Amino acid sequence: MRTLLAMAWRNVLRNRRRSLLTAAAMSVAVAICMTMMALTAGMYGQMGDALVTRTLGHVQVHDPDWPGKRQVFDALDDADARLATLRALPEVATATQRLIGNALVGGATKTEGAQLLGVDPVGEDAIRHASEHLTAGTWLPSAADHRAVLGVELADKLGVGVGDEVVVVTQAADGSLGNDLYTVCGLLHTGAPAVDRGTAFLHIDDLRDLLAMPDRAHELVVLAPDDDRATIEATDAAVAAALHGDDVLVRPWWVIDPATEQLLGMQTFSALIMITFFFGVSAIGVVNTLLMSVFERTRELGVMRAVGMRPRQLVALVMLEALVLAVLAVALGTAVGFAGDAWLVQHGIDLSIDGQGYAMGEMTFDPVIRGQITAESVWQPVVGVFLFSMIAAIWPALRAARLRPVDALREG
Amino acid sequence: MIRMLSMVVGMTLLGSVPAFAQETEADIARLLDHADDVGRGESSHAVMEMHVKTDRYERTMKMESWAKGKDKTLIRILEPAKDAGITTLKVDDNLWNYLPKVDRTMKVPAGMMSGSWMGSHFSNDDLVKESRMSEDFTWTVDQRPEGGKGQWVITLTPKPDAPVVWGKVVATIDADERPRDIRYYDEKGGLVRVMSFQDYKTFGGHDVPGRMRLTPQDKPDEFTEISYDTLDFDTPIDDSLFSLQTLRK
Repeated sequence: MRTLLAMAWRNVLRNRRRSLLTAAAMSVAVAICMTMMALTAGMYGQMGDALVTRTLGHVQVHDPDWPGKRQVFDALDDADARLATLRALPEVATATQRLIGNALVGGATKTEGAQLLGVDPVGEDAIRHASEHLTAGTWLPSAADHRAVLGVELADKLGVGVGDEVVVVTQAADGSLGNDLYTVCGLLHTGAPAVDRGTAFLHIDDLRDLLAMPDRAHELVVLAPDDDRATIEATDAAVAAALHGDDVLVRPWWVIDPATEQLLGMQTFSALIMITFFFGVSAIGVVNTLLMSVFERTRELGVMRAVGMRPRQLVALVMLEALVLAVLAVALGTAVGFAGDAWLVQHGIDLSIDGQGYAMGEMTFDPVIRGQITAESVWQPVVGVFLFSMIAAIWPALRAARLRPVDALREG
Repeated sequence: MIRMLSMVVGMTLLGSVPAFAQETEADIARLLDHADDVGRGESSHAVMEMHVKTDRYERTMKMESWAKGKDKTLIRILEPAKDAGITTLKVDDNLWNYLPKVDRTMKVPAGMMSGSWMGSHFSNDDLVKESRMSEDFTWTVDQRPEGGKGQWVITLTPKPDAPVVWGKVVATIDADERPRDIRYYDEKGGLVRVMSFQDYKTFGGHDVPGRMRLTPQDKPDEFTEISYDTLDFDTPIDDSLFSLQTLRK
């Protein structure tokens, strides 16, 4: 085996320019896949953050009648006590509660329909990191004080800014017309259009007053200690067990919002397509290089067969040559790839048009997309290059193994 | 809703129209026109109670209303104290609510017109939607009174471009010309809600149902009922009452 490896190495070096060009082509594929995957991971990371971690949370608790109709009456009772129970669980990293209503929100001249989110300012900020995403003003104070934080686009539509008053009118749970004034204390840009365009945040106690719904909440939101599926499933089970006996619905985020799961799942799919494409192209180069080298060495290979080398060993030899090329490509490719990744992580790509976020479908991205180096973005291109060069080597290797020594020697 | 009432009042005043042995299309058109027109060009002033019962809550509100013609209505809530002073102004197709607690007037946007008015089973649209039966509907007379007994049952089907949300409307009117109920059907022919009229009384010289009850068919336990404490007709009302300035009083 060792001898075979030495022979493979020598064979690769025999036509240095050809080998180097082939390895370079493969390494370009590695580098492109690595950086593209890091960039996609950055984009999907942003999407996952905005759509899941900061909005849905990992696990949510609702009244069983809540899904679908989302009626204001289908709320949980004793919300404060239940939330305290959840916060005490070791499987729960953070938990908060939300009261949700629909209302008319009016500025000085304009009125818009909006979703009202009554939140516990401290608990909500731990999940949403809202205070980091304010474009102006401050997040809600921890005590109810008739203040409101509006999505930036909603504030824009209403023509209000920090310090202005908004009037909120809604149907309260007792049938009366709830109405009150709130002072805008901050403007929020989350990247989730539903929030940015149509949500007003109030202190949950203010909203409970407005809706005449004391100690009630529509949603308990839980973050697991980690965002992988197994951890979230364990948290989901722990939450369900802790609220056992109560008439509640406990669900992980992917059950609540399968569309978002599908959207985020496209990352894996797009990476697969990219890898197949780039390595497929570079594999053709590998086939060419190896085939040429086998043809050039017909006589030499014939001699080797004649002196007792088995066909299987010849297959191994050609495969090893492909492997050497792949190793060169990985060394070169990951070096360039990591350099590209580092640049993407540090500088990112500015996709903005005059400083605005970049919108794709229902998502608005931050103006600058930064790369994110994930394990997948390294191991998948590396495994890809090995896999594809091995596949590419099969035909040349079989070609070499099938040579009949007599014919081969005569040909030379 | 006020409009519905004036329509009803109109129907009750059909005594002047002779009972047809075999009516013609024009007769029915005139009958419906008459019903549409009687409440218009006049004014009314009422104090009423609205009782709303839903699976979730039950409440009674007292309110005062002024109406002039078909386009102008002002309704002010008197009780309960929590809502007192909330005033709804309708002028043409526009609706505003004045909220004394926050001292603001808010126009109800188009997207909220199908929402409930003051927690009742009436929608904001019910307050503003205007249709003329003889112009916006085609009709068939399914049943007619005979010998001063029985009822008129008239099925009204909206014309394609009519501003009507219903698939069809069936009006049942007693032989004495008092509407008994109006049934509203969706476009698939399902019964959506029933408005019934009871306790006919004389208000301001007119024979008027003292109670009107709206029952949504998907929740038969629920209803909104309006009854009149006082109701005057043809009292002069100045146009300036129906203005945004009046709302702030």
